[in-house]
Amino acid sequence: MNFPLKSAPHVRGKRTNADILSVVIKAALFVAVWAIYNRFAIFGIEVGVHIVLMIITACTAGTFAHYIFDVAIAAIEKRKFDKTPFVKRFKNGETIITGLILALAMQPTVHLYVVAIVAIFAEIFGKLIYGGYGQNIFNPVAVGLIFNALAFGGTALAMPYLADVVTGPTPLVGLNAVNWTMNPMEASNFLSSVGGAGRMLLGLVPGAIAETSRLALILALIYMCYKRVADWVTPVVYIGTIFIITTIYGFIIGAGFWYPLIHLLTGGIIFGATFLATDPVTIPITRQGKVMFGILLAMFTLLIRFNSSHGEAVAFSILLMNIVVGIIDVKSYGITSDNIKKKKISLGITFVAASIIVIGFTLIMS
Amino acid sequence: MGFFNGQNYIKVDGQKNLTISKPLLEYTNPKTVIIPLKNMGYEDFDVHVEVGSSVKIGTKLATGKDHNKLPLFSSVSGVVKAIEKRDHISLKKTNHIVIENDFKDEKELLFEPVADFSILTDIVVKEHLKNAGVLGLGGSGIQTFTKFRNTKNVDTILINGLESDMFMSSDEYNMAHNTELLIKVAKLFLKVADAQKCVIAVAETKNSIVENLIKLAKDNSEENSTIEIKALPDEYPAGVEKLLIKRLFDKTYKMLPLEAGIISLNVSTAIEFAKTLNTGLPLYERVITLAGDGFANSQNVKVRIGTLLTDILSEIGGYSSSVTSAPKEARLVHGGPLRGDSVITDNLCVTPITAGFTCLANAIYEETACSRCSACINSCPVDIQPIQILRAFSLKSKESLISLSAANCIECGICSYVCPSNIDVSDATKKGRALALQK
Repeated sequence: MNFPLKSAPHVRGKRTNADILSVVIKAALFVAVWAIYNRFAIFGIEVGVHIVLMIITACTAGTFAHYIFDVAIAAIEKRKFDKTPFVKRFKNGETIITGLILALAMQPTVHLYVVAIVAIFAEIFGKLIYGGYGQNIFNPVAVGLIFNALAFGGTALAMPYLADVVTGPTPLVGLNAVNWTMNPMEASNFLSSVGGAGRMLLGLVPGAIAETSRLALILALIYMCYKRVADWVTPVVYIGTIFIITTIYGFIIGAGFWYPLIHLLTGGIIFGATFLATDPVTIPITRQGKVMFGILLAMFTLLIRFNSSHGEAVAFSILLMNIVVGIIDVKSYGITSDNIKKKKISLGITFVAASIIVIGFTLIMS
Repeated sequence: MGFFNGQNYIKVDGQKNLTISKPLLEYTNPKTVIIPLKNMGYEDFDVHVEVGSSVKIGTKLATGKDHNKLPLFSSVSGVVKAIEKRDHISLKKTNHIVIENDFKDEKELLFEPVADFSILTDIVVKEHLKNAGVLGLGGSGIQTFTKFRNTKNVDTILINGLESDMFMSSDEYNMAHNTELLIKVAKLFLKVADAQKCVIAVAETKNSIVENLIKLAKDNSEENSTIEIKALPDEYPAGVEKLLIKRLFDKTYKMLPLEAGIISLNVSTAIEFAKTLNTGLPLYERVITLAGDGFANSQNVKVRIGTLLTDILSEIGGYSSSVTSAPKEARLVHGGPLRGDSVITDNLCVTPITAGFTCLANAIYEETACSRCSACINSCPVDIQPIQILRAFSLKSKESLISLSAANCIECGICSYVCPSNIDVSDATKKGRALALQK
């Protein structure tokens, strides 16, 4: 009897990309359920239902984008459209993951057609034109968020029937207005105005759908790391760097003990750490690179946050760092366990430099 | 294991119970045996027999023409039927000597059997190693006497019984049934190489063997010539020589363990040599493992060297129905499924280095795009970056391959095993290694 010639190994591990994606989807759905309850508790049943509709719209639009893209490519290449690759990706969950996470990062009253357009844009220009899942340079969720912020102004286009729901300015807006400077008194005033750090951790404050449910996000992150779907290094380094730099900055401007916590508990830092900084496709591949990525990501997030009036600091910094992932990967060529001392020193220097850049630049500008 | 390099070893369900729990099947009367005139890449032999010559077990059939003078022996008594080109496990057509069995099992002794190893001098042992054509049975096929040629710097002898590939359990069978012989020969090797200690590495899951070995080793250890048993976790690829030496002795070397003052032997090599001393006959039969869902039955079989795989298969029940219905989706592998080489036909003979055959049904792994999950990097035992080597190799960039240390690859195949996208990473790292080593 004859057999085909194949290369070793002849057995493979059981884990597939579909398993990995299903863990991420489960984590995202967990956050979604938590967040829907939160929004429902604050704004009432209409907003809760609307968020469910937003998520369904985003997932459907993402799937639709995959389908029309395949059809369009088939037409351009003048071949018959074959739906098996699409069906395979649909079953893997590749077509809904971007839409799901994207919807979670939007304001809870956004018009459904905006959600659909943003999701389609994110799928096509964030993922599909590069060749699909695994080939994209930029994080598609971040691409979608930036597009949403620039084209639709975030919250501007609310659903008509939700117009009377006053979501109120998010805590971030007020902090941006004062350029993130405050004294201990103002810090504690700010915290009591939103109901304390506990409410911010649970997500019972105004803001984007899931960005606010920080405890749920942290639990989702732990779950993904436990399942070895996400590497814990990037989010931990990212959050840790932000914590240390804001602690030092807060000490310099005399903002007191609560200052770094205010940073971590406002805006999308925890959300970005959970779902954007763990996306393996758009972060460096080695541990060394991941630490470097986390430090520089924190640097850009804080620079944008301190010095720009624009929101979406996390999404912008993710896109900026996506650009240099290739260089980081090439620079970490070699044996991963070699020159560990050298690697530690270079990462330490990067950390110190990032801290000096953020604090120095911000102090000079203010 | 560390922050920068990941976990290095992985747990693989070896499924050794498929074969080791069943009684051994003895199939030692094949109608014909075919002895390949080839070892490793070497196939230049002086043939001492011709068609029609009658031979016995242990008759020298051929001798290598180079200075190592590897002898090949008959494994049955009978008549030489033909010397012809046939399929070989190396995939190249090779000359084989075909011998028809007369079932008399007459023997031609190479030397007088030795019962008490302590009377042997090191010169005699080295002569026996060379004249009996003892090979590295772990798959290397290196002649064992070459390792004992220059023992001036040797301080350690390593007997490797880890057998970390899936399914394969012939080493385990040998160890379980020849424990005393193993200790005896370990003592002999200590004397021959004038080494201080002999380390026998075994997987800690093989409880009864480890216990027996530890007891026997304690009784037989002396000052300045100790026998140590190292029980290591049953992980893959723990058995790879280079990694094992790094792990046990923290020593590195370029080509051969001898550079680090270590003689490294497979456990079956040691045991079969002890049997050769006991019987005066060269290796003429060995235990092989036939396992995998492609065979109707998984089984350890004792066979003569040169027995045809097709003959053994008809004895144990042939292939499973999923292989016969879709042979294009099946794989036949010489050795274990993780490190073994795929072969294209089953019309092959058992060679001394054959630890077994694996047959897998429905072994189709569909490749998808890399999601950069870094599983290959985190599990690489030598801490290189397989996926980056794949990319550098696809660009044929020798410069990048060198800066990625592609030459360090030990071809264990973990990178492909863990890949969730089923990418053939290890195939590319093998080729990348070859390109990086090219002058």
